[in-house]
Amino acid sequence: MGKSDELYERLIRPIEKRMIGIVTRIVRDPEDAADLFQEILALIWARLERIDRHPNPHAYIIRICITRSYDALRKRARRRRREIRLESIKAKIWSARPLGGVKEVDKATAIREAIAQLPPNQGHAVLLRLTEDSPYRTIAGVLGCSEATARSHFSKGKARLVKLLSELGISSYKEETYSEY
Amino acid sequence: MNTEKKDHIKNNGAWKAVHEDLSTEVSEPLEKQLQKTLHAFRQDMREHPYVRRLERHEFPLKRRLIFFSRSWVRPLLAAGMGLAIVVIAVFLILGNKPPTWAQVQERFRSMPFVATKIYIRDIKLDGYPLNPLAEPKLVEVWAGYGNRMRIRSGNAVTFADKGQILSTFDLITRSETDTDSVTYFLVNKFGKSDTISLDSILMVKNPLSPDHIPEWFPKGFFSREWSSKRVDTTPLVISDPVASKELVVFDHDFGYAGLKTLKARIWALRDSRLPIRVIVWLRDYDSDWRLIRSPVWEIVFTYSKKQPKEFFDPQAFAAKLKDPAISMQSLVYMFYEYPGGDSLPIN
Repeated sequence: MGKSDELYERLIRPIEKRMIGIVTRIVRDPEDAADLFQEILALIWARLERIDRHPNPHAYIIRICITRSYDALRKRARRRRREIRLESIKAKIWSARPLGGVKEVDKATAIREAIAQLPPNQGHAVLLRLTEDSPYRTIAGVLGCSEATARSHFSKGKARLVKLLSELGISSYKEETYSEY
Repeated sequence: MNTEKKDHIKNNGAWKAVHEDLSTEVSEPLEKQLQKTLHAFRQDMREHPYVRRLERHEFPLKRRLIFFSRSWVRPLLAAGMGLAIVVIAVFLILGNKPPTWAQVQERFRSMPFVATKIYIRDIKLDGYPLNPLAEPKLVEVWAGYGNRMRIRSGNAVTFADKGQILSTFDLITRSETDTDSVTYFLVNKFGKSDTISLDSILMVKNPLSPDHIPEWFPKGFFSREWSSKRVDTTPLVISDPVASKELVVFDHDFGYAGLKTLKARIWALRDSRLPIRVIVWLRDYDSDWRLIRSPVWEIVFTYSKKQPKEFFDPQAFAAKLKDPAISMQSLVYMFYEYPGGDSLPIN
């Protein structure tokens, strides 16, 4: 086994599925997900030496995946807001309605736009917890903070997200026992 | 915050929607596509400059130690380096300390064999004025094997053991002869101890015998030994800082004894603490404090290879002396083993 294979087996192989899971769950569109994945791999390529020297290389790579995916969400949300503004000017029909109302966009897009409005650390914590069910210790490792801080980021992010979603009208579920987080 | 908490409690449905949306299974075609991308990435990694460097082992040891080690190794390395710096600093501070006179003496005493050349320039005058152009007389002294000595002074070769003269031979007449005063003086000076002592070379008896001490002087005012004051005068004698890194100089002022003064200067090596040169000079005044005699002794020490026992054996030498086939030049350094096999009369 050559050095490159050895490096790949050590750095990438154990987290291949996690990387794919994060990207595809956050960015639903297959084409966008494939582009984003390429972008992430390009970044890993550029930082390969740094990743290899890192005391926790897997957390480093997952952090790259999460931050890039989250950035993609925000970029997309910004683009959509611009499009809405443009449309409103054109048609003068969106002005009295809430941003990205569920009637105008599908639920998945609304959820992602709400996540994109979270502060980065809260957004990262929420995404990690939701996409791969990461324990707080893993989230702390990826975010580079203590477990307590990771927990705090998540709970604040979750509360804010729920609030944002309620504003968008996504609150029709009535399962009160759902409290695993 | 409280409002947020309440909203969160009220909106478990919303949270579930988020959870369901973000925890969906990855579609198989997309997963396959991304797996392909990963496979291509794996292939491309072979061309990565970092991987190539790894394959060529181009990382220096320092980088390998620092960057490829576990996180706990780095503080350990830093602590080790800090400790090494402290040790080096202490060594440099203490190592540069000049040797003391006692250390020089001790080092000299530990030498098993010493070859000495003594140049005696006796600026002496039977009448005035002094003659500073007087030629020096060379006396060669070899000492070893527990203070066994061989001295060549002019035509005479003397053998002595622990301060006792064994035999003196004349190289011209090839027979035993009387010991000259310088040789006798040297044999006495080197003492009767088992080792060669630097102090014994420098020590001079007070020339004032009790008979010469005026009666009106308090008893015990004069000792028979000269008083001695030793000072490290390296900075005064050697102004060149480079030279003073190698050498240390001691000045001994033995003060006055009657109408005589005696001084000595010793050059020693800093690292080995071995003396390499000694100058002793005496000033002898008449009753009107006019200088009448000023012998200067310059002693050069070398520490070459130890000579065989025969070299100090008077009987072996006497046997060779009887052999007319052996030239006088050969007899001077008979049994002397030249360093490097050279036959020149050098120490």
